[in-house]
Amino acid sequence: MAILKTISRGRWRLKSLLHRWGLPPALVRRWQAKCQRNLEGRCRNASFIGTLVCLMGRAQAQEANLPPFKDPAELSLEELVNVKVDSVFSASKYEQKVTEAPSAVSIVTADEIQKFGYRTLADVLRGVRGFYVSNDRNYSYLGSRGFLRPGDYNTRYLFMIDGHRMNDNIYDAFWIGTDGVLDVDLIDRVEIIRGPSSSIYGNDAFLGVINIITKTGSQLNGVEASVEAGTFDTYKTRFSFGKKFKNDLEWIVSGSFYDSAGQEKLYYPEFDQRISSDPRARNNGMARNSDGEESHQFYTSLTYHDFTLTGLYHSRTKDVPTASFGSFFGNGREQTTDDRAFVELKYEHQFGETTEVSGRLSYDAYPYLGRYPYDYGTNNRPADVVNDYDGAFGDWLTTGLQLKQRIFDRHTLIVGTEYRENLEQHLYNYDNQRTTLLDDHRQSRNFGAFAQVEAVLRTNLLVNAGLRYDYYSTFGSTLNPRVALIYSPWDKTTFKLLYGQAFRAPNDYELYYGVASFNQGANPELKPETIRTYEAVYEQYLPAHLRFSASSYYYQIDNLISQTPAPTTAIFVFQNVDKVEAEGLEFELEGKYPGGLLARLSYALQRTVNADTGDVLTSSPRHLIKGNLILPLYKDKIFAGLELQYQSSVETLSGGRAKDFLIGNLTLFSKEIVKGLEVSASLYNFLDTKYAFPGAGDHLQDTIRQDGRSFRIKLTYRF
Amino acid sequence: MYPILTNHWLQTGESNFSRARNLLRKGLFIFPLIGLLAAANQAFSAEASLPEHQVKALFLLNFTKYVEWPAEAFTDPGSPIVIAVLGESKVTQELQKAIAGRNANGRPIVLKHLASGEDPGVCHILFITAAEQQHASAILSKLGHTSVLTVGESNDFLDSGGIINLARRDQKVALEVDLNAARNSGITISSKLLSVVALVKGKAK
Repeated sequence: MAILKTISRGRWRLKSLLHRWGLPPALVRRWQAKCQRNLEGRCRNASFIGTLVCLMGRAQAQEANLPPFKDPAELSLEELVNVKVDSVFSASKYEQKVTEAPSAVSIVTADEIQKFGYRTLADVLRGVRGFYVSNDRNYSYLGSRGFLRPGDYNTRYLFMIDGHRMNDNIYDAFWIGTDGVLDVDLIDRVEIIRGPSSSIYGNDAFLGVINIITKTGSQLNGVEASVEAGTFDTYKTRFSFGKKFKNDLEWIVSGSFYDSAGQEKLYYPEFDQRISSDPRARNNGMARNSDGEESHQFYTSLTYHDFTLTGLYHSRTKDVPTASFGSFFGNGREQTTDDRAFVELKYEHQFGETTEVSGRLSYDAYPYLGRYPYDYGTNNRPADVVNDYDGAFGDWLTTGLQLKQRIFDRHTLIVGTEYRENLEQHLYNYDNQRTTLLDDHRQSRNFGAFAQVEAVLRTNLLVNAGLRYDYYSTFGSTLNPRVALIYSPWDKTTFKLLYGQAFRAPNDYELYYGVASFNQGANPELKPETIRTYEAVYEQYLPAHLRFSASSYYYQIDNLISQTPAPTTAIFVFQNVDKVEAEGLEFELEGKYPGGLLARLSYALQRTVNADTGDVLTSSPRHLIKGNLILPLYKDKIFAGLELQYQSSVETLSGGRAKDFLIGNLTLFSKEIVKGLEVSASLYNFLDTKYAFPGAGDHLQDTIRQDGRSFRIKLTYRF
Repeated sequence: MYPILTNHWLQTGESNFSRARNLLRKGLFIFPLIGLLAAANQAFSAEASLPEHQVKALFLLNFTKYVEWPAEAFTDPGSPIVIAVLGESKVTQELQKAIAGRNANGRPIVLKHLASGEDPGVCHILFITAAEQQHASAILSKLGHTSVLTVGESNDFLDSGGIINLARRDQKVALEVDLNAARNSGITISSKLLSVVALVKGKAK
């Protein structure tokens, strides 16, 4: 990294190469010429759209020679090795067909991650029907079903890595952006389970479950080295090794470094003293060199027969340009560091054909430290800037047992328990001159027990019913059921009717963070938020490799935890106040074809309102339209991945609007042109759309502008 | 609470009209996608995805066509190819459906279901289900060099001496083959079958 940094700071500034297109013009010209040659002179139109259309026309002409519809038994060997066997693990804690899962499910595979040039989990989720992600130039925030709260650290989704719960014990947060914990290159697939799953997973499985399945040592089978470089002096390197040894030992180990200088200057009119009356305004509203980021991570997993030992460590530091939480603007010293680590030992054993037992024991830790410069002087200059440090440390032990039993070769029963001991939940805040403002130590524990049964009533009718009991030392107990009726009247048609309840326990931060001088008070009396959901899903396999799915839902959230002024004081505390109703429709059409061609189009229509006022929530777009296309350009060696995402305008906290936008990303991916080498080149936001996401309560900015066109080049070599 | 200020780039004086035109221009990018989907609908037809056990059954069926046994493996030219499935698996039912009314190179195909621990007896393809993998080494060493195409579905099947493994990779069923084991059994795997194999034992393709 030091070398890369020297290069980037020295004469060879990458930025100078970017030009207006975000790519060196010579490279663009060469690439266009190459595309032209590929067209075998059929299309002479040099425009970008023209090229794209021509390429598509070509692909069609090639693929059209395929045999017409036939009996699966007539599939050739080539077709068989390319048939997708869709199964999903997370919806019921065991592998099942997507159509039999008690939820509306999406799966994103390693293949798509490569071909769409996804850099982070946020990139992956942005491409998924009905999901959207906002960003405040520090963290990324996930929304779905019209529900996203800026400044809420993804607490209403349960995130898992290979079934290990990743949400921490302070904020219940998980990081999905460049702050992400696991390198996307190590992901085999991401399973996205919509709707509540507290009946099996307990806390946080409120709006959805996102389970990341990692690659195994045998999948990697060797040494892999990867380097990438992109706009804003962004570099990443990764080194991985994976192998399954003769003695049945399987090992994967990987380390990554990421470094980005970020935008050199960012303009915030709210901080421009020429047009803003805010006392913090200065520097003509320009935040210089305060968008940098650095992260590193280490992951390893060792499997021997029935035992798996996994370890992960991740650390990420980000300069925050937005002067959030009322901090001093323009000196680039606001910074946050989030670390995350865990070690887990897992045991899985199958007894005969009918019984599976698994057990887990793990230790997790989450340290966080933020540095916030504050002006302790009066409003007159010179400023008296003092660093305030806001931090947290949480660590916890978790253990769980699960039994899966097949009954009469038709029905499936799962029972399990989970226990979590929060060894330490520490919130603190101090500044480097004056006093300790907060020093709160807690310990707590929770216990859960669940049962789920999948009963085959008739060959085409399944009932999936589950119930989970949870006890929390902080607020008491809660009981959450889920029932799904899955009916396949015809071979290629599935209907699902789903009802679910879920909860989110108040987290340590909401319960105990109180600093009088910040006007923020603790509220240890908080109760969990609850959600009740009704959903109908229709899935249809069509001729021509097409799959259509539609889903309509109604969600009702009660006792939503919101920060509101306490009665008779100016102190803000978290309270169970809001009630939210969400209703919507989602449609998706997907075609997957031999040779790797994939096309997907989805639309989500959503209306999510505060039930008391009838107002649409902030950061809740009415329409989301997404198009994804993977086009094989040359054999199975070169592919183009195109993404288009449209999001309609949303309301901001101040009652203004962040306007609608259309984002396009394009990736060219090649493999095995040189043996062992994969090359990918991506243009993100190639339309150079100017767009912004609403800020949170801790921002002066009503909307926070996002990056324009940017690029990345990535080389991966396998030894 | 906060001064309502729009962002710098919102103040560049873009009229609603040019915004709409801008969006329309960008919207044109969606048309190729829709066009492709529509065209694709016309152009292709076949099954999109299949259950794993069905794909495995279809592979077993295909092996009867793309594998050659030595002549002495059959009593006469018209005698059947016997596929034995060891252990409980949905593959058995699928295979039963798939072989109905079919033959391979003029030979009828017969399916035999073996309970756990049962001796395979005379068969040409032996499929050892994941549940029976724990006994695989014992069974395979007992078979010795007889001309049986052994097929498994566990990561360590080839290591325990099997010939073809049906492995799960990237949500597909991939073929892994041990050519030495095949040669020792006197079985010839056609080049057509080898052309779709993902892993030949010891090295990636």
